Amino acid sequence: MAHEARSAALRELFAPLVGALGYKFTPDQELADFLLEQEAVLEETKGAPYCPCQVRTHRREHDMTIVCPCIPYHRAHFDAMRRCWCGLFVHRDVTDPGDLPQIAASELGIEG
Amino acid sequence: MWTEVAKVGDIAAGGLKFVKLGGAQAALANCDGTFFAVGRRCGHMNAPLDQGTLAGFVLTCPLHYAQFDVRDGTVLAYPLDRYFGAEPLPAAARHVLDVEQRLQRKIRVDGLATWPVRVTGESIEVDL
Repeated sequence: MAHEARSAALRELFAPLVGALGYKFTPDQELADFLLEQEAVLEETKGAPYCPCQVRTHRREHDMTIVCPCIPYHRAHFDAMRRCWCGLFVHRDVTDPGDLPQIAASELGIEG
Repeated sequence: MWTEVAKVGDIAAGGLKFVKLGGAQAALANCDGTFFAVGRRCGHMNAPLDQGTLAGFVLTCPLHYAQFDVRDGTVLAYPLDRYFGAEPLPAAARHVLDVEQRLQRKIRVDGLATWPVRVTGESIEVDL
């Protein structure tokens, strides 16, 4: 199975989900393609499209909270950053994702 | 030869319908108003795909959740062969799943046959 085809499928599956949450895919197409491809690889090798930028602990309670799109599990944190942790999704009103830094939840005073 | 297999109103957007195409069986998919016809039997273990789910162009098999692209029939995801439940399984159930997992990894997943589809008036026609 081609990772490119799976990446396109993940994009198709995720778009309505994150749209309902007030987010959209980052306008940075190159970044989105790269992250989706990594998720396709993780899904093939680890069984689920885990976030490529967060560490799996092998504790189910934690690992299920980093399956993409993981916005509902980190809502306060991502809403504060106006992006998800890896940057695959941004708030729907964001046009320049380059302006949005990655900030640890602890720095924002949010429970991560 | 173009043959009417259903009416446009027979399948809601995001819906699937089982149709017979001569001697073949197909699942007719309505992707937001665009119709596609793919083989009805899953390329993994023959489950009826018209009883699966359609999200955009992604068709998910109801049995082991293999996924296919209804536009060209390609395989988009292999079957789920892992247990994702929250509760630990009893030893006997885990043994059954372990055996099934080993077997499933030896089963090839084939893409689906596709047929050209067109809409004429209220008719959905397939080129047999």
